[in-house]
Amino acid sequence: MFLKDISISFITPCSADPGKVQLIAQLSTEITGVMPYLKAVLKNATYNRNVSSLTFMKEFRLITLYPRHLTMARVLNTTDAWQVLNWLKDLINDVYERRESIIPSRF
Amino acid sequence: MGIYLDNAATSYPKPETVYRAVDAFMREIGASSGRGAYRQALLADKVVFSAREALGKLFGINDVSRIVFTSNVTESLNLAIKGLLKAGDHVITSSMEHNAVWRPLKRLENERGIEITVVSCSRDGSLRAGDVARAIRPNTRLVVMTHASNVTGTILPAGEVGAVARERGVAFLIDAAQTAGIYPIDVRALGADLLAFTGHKGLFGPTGTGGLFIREGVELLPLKEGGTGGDSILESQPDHLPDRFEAGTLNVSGIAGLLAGVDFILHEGIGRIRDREKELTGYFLQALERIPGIEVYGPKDPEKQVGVVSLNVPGVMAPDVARVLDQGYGVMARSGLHCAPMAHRTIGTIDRGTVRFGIGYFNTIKEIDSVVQALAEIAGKAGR
Ligand SMILES: Cc1ncc(COP(=O)(O)O)c(C=O)c1O
Repeated sequence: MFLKDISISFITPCSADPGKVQLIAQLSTEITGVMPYLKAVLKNATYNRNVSSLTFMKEFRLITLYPRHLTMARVLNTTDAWQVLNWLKDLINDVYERRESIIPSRF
Repeated sequence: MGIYLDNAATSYPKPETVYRAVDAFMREIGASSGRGAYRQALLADKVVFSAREALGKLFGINDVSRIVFTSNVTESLNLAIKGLLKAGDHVITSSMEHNAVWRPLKRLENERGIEITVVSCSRDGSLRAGDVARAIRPNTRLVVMTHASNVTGTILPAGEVGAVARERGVAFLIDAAQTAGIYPIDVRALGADLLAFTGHKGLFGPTGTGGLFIREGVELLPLKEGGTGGDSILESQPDHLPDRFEAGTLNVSGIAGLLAGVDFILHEGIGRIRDREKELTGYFLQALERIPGIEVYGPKDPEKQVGVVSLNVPGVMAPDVARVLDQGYGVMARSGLHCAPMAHRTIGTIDRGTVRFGIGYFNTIKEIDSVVQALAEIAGKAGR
């Protein structure tokens, strides 16, 4: 498996703003090389090559991927957070597996 | 150590990993879930999430946020029944129900004016799905029934009833107290809108654990309000699951044990567990046939029941049989009505109850032999 684990390192579950849990999670693998492929697959993503970041929406949640970590905003609760992180891990691994059949995005 | 045959009440022993998981959680993590942001709080949260995932795998549930934790199946059933039914609703249930279903329904009959139809089961506890279909009315909101009887072990045709309910647009709630972890359950195949389970029986978790699966689109009112960790500024319970139904600190140490229990089941395989219990139950039923006079209830067929066997010894009251088994032979079984008077009315034992044996995955043929020997001696003395 390319990316083995995404673990939450910071979360604000008890924030004053309802429905706006924010979190930071660490990636067990460096993912810069997969970003152009992810950008190609995630239709609504913005890829910033200079700082190697990829920002996109997963329904109402805002996710920004960096080489070794990510931030996520507007998460419903911690269960939601773990579910989305599982989805993301599977997505990254799937894109990595299929990278030869994906045309990477340059922007 | 005696012979434990009360697994229908709660399973014992548990897999070794369950004891270790509870101990390790309490010593090494110990924090509350969904509350803090420090490393141990996140570990606690991960334990709870992993338990949801394991249960999702076992019951065929993809969106595990639809699984809410409760303290037992009784709470899950109360949440489902009281959260769903409104004044004027009609509900259908079976005549084999536990008081965990029957008492909440009777309360709502008194307080909200719901109407209840009880579909009669046969004397062996079996139910015909067609009888449920015939009982459906325009205002029928819910069909609730046990998946298997805790008195006779009889397996009810949940899949067929689920199909009827689905077709007629009626919600379907299953009490899986006697089947979860013991018999294959897939909420999609069963057509379950709500699946109530307890953690401490077939799922091998500690007491004080349980849960409810709520299919997307099924709207329930919460049974309780309180802190959820998030959304603290709101004055009402948040809308999103599982938080909507999980007010208050969860039993995380119990859930850590439940996770180990469900992992054990996933590892062994539900098919293997079911086969083992069928083997032990079939062996017990056959041996009982050879004891003259003993009256056994239920289908008397391991294919049609879980590892619950109820019986009476002619001439000896059920509590006396249980007492002699305990004091004379070290066999732990339970006598009485087993919190299910309706079921005893159905099988014709309301006036005397039964002695109930709850066979579990860890019982052995040798233990069954000892129990049969003890029953033969008790029956022999009574017959003299
Ligand atoms: C069919 C059935 N429903 C409900 C219950 C209640 O279980 P709990 O005490 O875990 O809530 C039991 C077990 O006692 C049962 O066998």
